[in-house]
Amino acid sequence: METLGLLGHGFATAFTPANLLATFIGCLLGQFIGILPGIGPAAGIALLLPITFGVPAATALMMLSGIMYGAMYGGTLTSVLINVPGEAASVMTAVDGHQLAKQGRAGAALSIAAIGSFIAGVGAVALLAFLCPVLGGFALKFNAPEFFLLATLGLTTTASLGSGSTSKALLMAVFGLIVALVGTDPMTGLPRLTFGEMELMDGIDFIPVAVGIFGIGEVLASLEASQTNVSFIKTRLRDLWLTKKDWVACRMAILRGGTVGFLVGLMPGVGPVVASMLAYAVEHRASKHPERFGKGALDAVAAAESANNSAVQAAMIPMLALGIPGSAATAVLLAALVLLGIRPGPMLMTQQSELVWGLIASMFIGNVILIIMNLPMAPLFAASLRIPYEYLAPGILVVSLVGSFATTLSLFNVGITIFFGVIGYLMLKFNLPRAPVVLAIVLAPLMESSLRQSLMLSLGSPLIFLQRPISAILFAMVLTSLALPLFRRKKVEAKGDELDGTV
Amino acid sequence: MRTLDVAPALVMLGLSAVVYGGTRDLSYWSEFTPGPAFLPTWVAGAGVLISGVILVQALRKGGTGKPEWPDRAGGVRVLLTTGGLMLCVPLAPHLGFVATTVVFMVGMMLGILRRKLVPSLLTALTTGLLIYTVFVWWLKVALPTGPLGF
Repeated sequence: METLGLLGHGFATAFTPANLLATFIGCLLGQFIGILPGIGPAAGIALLLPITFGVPAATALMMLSGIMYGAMYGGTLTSVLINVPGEAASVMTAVDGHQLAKQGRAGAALSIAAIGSFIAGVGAVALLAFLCPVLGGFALKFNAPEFFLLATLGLTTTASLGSGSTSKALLMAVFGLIVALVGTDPMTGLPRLTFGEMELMDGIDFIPVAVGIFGIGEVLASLEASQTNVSFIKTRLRDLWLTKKDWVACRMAILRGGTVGFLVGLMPGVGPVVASMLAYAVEHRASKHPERFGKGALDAVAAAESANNSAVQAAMIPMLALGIPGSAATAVLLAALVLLGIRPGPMLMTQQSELVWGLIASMFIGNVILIIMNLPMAPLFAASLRIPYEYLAPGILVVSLVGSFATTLSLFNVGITIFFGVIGYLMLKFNLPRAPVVLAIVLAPLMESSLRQSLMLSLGSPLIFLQRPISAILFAMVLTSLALPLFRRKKVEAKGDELDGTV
Repeated sequence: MRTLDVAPALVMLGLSAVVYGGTRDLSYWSEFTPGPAFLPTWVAGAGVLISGVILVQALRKGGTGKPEWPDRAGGVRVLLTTGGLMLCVPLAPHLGFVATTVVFMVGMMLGILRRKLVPSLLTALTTGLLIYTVFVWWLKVALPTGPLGF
């Protein structure tokens, strides 16, 4: 009941004209960012962060989080209409969505994606509203050892549960930690890894790194191939209407996708990409006609889209309740909180109650805004796909530079952004995951301060991390997350040996 | 040799060595508290360990695994764009930030991406105007100005 009361106050905050406008602008920008290939929600939030300076923190956060979940809706358009996922989490949507479009059912695909995203998104926000206070209350019992282990768990789960190589993901997390170590030691004030460079005394800012790696790096990779005129499938307003058969086919897919997405999104570091892939796989297994998958199955689109939107909302739970980002985009949001002068962590829910509940309420409103935008206005947004990418790419690059300058008024930071842009490009070439880098940079201050505090308390004994039940459990979870990929590999190898034996 | 795996591992090995060497003069432990070199040492150690694991895995797996580099034209586009971005940094204080971005965009669209003149100029000027309106006029961000005042 208390939660409902707080949520009511949250709606009162979210329904002010300024906050409504901010949520709308965030959703609209997120929609466009989702449509545009070469820029994702993490880079979008980082790029647009400077325009929130000077507005109240709650308003800024509502806009920035609107960008995050708005991008999930926007990514569907390009996936379905031109078979190019505008956002990584829409990759699975493209598999069946574009096939449906070729069969003249683009409208149905877009429609079910929007409706599935809405239902799953609202469901996820409702669960978020009830889970956050519970988790936040539990986290009030945490001390320095628990925070260190929780931050470490955030990095290890990113590596072990994310897509791609675990060892490469861990390596990139180490890279992120190295970047975060540059600057001044927080306890002694001594310069560290600055190599005599005055500009590095304040450390390497998070925003230039995020903008460089996710924004500039992605655009550079997109420039490799000259963009030929893509022919895309037109869609009309009347095509968006779903039949009763479509509803019956998709309702369980939305439920299953939303549930999978929520559970995956809760896990720090995993994110909507894995959620949509897992939901697709689950739906394939649950379907009575799995042979349709890959050839234009509407329920496949429903599952993938429900999952990615649900995961994005769920990723806010560890961020709000624990101060641990659940994805690259929430890592940037967390950095935004710090820039806005707010300290993330378990105390956020009590100390900044109006901000948190206003944000949660705005997520309900944002999902409503997005379904209104996506259903009748889908053909309008689809028209923006006609703009050749070569006219957009230079704009994205210069906005990246201006945004980086605006955060610290330093041309040195602009140089850092370009440097990390090249790094981001090379990371894409060498299949190195980028999310662990930004997660590590965001988590590093918490990791270092809590580690040193813990060892100070225990007079140097590492046993402090095992003494309390919560920290012991977290320690076990860290070890499990590191061991999980090894077990998976052994299982795959054993299966391979078995097949070799039977052939 | 799997270049995809070996190259990043070698780079990180080098970086870890730099981190360790760069913090050797700082104290690892002082009385009963970890010093400024504590975490860098452990991070460098983790970097060496994980790089070692990747190198061993790469040597055991064998086979080829090379990055998909672009063709010549694509490579030139990427290199020239990067070079253009780098040039923006020293030019901005002299030309003005907004003017520099407009020049960069025109150069990129006409010279690198080979787009048509009028749409390129329109796009660059519109973006420049947008940047000026949002960042200079609305947000009052003190972007470096040049002889034209922006």
